[in-house]
Amino acid sequence: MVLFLLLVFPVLMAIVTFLTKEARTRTVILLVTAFVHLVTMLGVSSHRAWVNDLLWPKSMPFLGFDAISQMVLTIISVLFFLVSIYLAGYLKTQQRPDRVLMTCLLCLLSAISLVTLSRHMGLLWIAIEVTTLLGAPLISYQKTPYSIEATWKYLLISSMGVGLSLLGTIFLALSVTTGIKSVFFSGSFESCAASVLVVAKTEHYLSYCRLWH
Amino acid sequence: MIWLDMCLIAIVFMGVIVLGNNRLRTTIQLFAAQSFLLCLVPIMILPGFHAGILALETFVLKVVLMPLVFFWAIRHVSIRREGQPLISYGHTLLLGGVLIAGSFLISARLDLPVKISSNLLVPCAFSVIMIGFLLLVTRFKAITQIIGYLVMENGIFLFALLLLEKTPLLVEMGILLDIFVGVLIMGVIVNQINQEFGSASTVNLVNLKE
Repeated sequence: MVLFLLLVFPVLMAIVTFLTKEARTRTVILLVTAFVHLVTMLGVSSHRAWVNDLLWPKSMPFLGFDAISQMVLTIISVLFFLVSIYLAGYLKTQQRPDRVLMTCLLCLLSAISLVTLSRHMGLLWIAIEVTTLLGAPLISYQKTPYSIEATWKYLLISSMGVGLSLLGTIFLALSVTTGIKSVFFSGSFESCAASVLVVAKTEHYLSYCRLWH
Repeated sequence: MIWLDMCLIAIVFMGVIVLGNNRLRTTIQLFAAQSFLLCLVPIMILPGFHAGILALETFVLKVVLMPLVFFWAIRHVSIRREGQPLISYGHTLLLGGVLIAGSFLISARLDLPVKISSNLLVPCAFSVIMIGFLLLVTRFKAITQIIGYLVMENGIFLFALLLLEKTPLLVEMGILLDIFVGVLIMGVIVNQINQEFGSASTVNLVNLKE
């Protein structure tokens, strides 16, 4: 249930957003989704038992919480909720259609959740690449020469960096036979690295938010 | 195993030809040819269901769909040649040769803990990655830059074949699909650059300053 609310629900809402014609409905959906995500994360943070019972099944080795990912995702959830309130006001002043922006934003929420929840290096890489790609339509929202230039540079440099991190992931997986037991995160050290990646990613977006205008 | 070695060497040669080429159309076709050779490699290394699916997906995405996206993106571009690159073609080729030699030197010292099916696999993977980097850095056309990125991805794909038995199929498919979606988005952006700046060259993209 928690996994559904965090990962699948934003994507479903994104599909609904893409299909609705009215801008007002889209804003409401964005706010509702952000609120549901926030409430779920606060519930997870306050009920330790939920995490242990629901998110550590042996049947699902790819996904799960640990202390750090829980903290990072809570911060992201709060930030996303605040930003979506700001966005609702900002989009009222804009004349451009916001359908793609809203859809990508909701998918981005799901992808960022997946980044923090993933317990496998390959899955982590896929999720990070997805967040990179979903960031591109957000940056090019205004369709001015500036925003297109920013999108191009962001996309190329990020893809290159993420491609290099794939190479790094492969090297890490190659070293499985020597020291590290598997590419699943087993200790807190690896998930710490993952959280650092997410934080770096968030910072990256913040630096690009300026380019919207 | 002789065919595997031949295939790997051909992949590196394709990269070298892309380095010395200035026609956009030929570059895209060369990339498709390189990807076709690439999709044969997993079948040769470890014939079976896993490798077959991987080869099929590589074929569909990299040989068929990605070149189609590229041709769609450049359909309105009037200039079908790369202009003057950052480094001249002769020097790029020379630099490419140096990089390939460097990759072979590095690979000779690399002591990998897994069983390697061909001695050429690791050096060729490194060479292709280096060629991709060189393409990306020295060219100004947006499409050529994307192809540079993809050539680098091809090299990483070759490297990932060392772990062919261990990687879950779902993860590999996810990686390939991600790269394809990335190329799709890049194609759309190239189209927008065309419309906004009047050419597919990234030389004009110098407006953003801190």
